[in-house]
Amino acid sequence: MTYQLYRNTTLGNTLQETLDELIQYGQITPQLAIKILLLFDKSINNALPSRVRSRLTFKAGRLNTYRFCDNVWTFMLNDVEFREVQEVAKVDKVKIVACDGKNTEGKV
Amino acid sequence: MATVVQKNGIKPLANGNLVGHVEKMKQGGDESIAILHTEEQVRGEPVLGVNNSEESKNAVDTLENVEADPSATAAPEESAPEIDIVINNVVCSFSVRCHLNLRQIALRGANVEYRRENGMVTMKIRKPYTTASLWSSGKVTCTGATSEEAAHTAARRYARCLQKLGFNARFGNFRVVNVLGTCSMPFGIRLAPFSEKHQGIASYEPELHPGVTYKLKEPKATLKIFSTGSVTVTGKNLFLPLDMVKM
Repeated sequence: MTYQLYRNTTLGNTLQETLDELIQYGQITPQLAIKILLLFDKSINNALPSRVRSRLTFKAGRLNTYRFCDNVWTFMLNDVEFREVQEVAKVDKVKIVACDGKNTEGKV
Repeated sequence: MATVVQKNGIKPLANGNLVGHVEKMKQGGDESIAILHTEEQVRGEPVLGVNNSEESKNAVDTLENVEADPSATAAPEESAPEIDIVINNVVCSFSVRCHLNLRQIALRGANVEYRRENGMVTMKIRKPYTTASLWSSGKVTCTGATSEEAAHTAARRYARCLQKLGFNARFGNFRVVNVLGTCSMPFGIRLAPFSEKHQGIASYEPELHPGVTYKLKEPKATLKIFSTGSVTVTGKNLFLPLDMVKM
């Protein structure tokens, strides 16, 4: 089992919407849709560490709260500044959910 | 840190007996003073301790004495170095008298860490800056406060946190478990001869620990004495480390 947390991204959401549509039109079965989603989890978990080159740094003004449960870190940050070479984006609140990238075996 | 101590009504104090020590040093007049000097101090302790345990029936009394000390001795020796004792850590434990669902705390609480292998949740608050360990039995230990008062408010805040998370938390069985104070002598201490003089109460095992462990019976406290002159005092009660500084 690989992490399913990337289903809640733009890419994952559109894929799910498309699959729902296809199921509605009867072109694929729900079982196939589930299979596709699992394949998506696997691929994106592989692709993100190996194929993505772009780098982004960010710095928070304050760590509001943190939490560690079931090997998942959750951080609520305030006044965050995202930086990619020249471009700068400022956000008031950011929530970061971070899982262990090394031992993905046996975890949801 | 000093301000916190002051808030508690206990001033960081100049060593009240220091003048006496300096005089003794003058009498001694040779290089072994430092050691002689420490022995004097340590011998002086238990007596002072007894005095103080009598006094500590009336805590205010003790405080007044403590405050009176520096004023009595501050003037004559301008060169006398000050020895401050600083309370670094107060450990307390209490019970919320209900079972805690650690997973629920870990999922919904703020600033929590739940490592299942430890079987407890670690929760932190920023004011007063402390860490609490929560067990599912409802027992909580809180560490890191710099005074007994701060430890008490921190403990109550943790109990309130748990109450807000939906537990039927009450606040009971509060006790201060341990108090750690540190101070630093303006001279080095030769540990080997020192521990030889105090066999039985002092133990010096350089292979295990670089300092001398000095166990006091009367105000029950343990001192770790290091060759640099640093002394750490651990005891059950805030007044104990304060007694130590009067040595």
